[in-house]
Amino acid sequence: MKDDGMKREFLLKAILAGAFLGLVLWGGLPLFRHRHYDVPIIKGPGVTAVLRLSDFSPRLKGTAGDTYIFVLQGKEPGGKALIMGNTHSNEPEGMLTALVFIENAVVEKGTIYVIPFFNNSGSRNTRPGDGYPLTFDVPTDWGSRRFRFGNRDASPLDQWPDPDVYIHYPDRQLLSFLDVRNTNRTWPGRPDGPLMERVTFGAMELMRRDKIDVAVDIHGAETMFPVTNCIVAPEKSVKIATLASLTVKAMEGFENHVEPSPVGFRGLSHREIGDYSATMPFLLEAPIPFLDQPTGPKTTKFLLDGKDPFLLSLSKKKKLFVPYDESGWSLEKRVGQNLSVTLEIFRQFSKKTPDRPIVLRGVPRYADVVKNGVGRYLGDPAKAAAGGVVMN
Amino acid sequence: MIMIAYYVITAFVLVLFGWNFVREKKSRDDLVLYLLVMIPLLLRLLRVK
Repeated sequence: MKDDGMKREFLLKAILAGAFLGLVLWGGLPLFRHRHYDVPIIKGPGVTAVLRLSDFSPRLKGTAGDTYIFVLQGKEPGGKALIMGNTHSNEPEGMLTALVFIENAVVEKGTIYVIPFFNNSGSRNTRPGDGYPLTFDVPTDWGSRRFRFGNRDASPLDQWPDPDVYIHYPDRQLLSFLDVRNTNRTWPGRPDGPLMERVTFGAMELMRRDKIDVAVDIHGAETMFPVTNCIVAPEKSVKIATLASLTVKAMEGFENHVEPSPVGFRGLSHREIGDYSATMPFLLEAPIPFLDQPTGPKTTKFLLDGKDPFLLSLSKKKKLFVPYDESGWSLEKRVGQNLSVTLEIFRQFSKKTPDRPIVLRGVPRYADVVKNGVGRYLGDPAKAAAGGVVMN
Repeated sequence: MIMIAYYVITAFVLVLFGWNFVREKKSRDDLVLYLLVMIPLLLRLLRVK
């Protein structure tokens, strides 16, 4: 009798432990795969060197904060620009814009540095409570390209624990505890601070050492958030931003305006880059309906086409800050806007400082991307030359 | 350093729950609860989430 009881207990515990391991595997494996999935990036015809952010912030070496910097140097000297995508890894239009530059741009005058996964740790994180997809596929002419869909903040696996309040360095402004993992609150960073401060410090060092003229930080913003469809610029960048904004609005037909960078809100790229280096910062925002809260399920389809019936209803009640109809706000429009605005900033900068021009070709503009899709400008890694792919 | 300390604490708590699971003789509910509580601890220890 006693043996039977022990057998039953053992069997019950074995079944429960098996179910437990099944649950761990079921929930954990997709997250593990997501964290360790590397995105292939093709070195386009204009890429002349590939660096690491740890070259500029040594204490990033060997950490998930380290990331690749693609250098596109022109044959003729000129100005220098930095493009950053995935500062927030749940705003993938920035990363895709950066990739279109890396895989297509040929620089004729000047040099462009591109960091497609600025918050590399954030791109390996997710927000399961919001039902985020872990990856998304962009259709191309030859198939599709798969990308990680990340979170706004770095993974707690890489930077933890969070403080009760994040005390910004060096201004000591009190920010939300979560912002210690947000690479758009940790500028200008420091060499031995928390991991995300080391990330922004690396970019600051790159800008200071290589004397970068223009920095473009590409984001996406909710349609219910007023700072969207815009360029955020501090005083030193505002003239170029205004000219770029007016030009794309008039010539390319999409909405854009300039938002001043607030002096009293610290840690943001559009504020600290300008204050702590000679570089002119610009932060680009394009509407991404996926990030809005009152929407339907957060599906990959919604991420790509930006169509949502709840937002449409809110739009009819004039609750959104962008024009929104049945056509949604697709990835093509978002990436196209970012490309055109970035190109226009370079053009306006070159006009203003003719001794430091940034001239390039091969990058599509808004109308091209809306017509052809983003995938038209993404190559097939399987057909790239040997050594021509970087896994990021 | 703090992160390492947290991992050590996580492992210690995980072992405690595991030991309680093995020792539990009466309550099926407690058995299930021990396992459920162990899931996030194990995922963190394995550096999955």
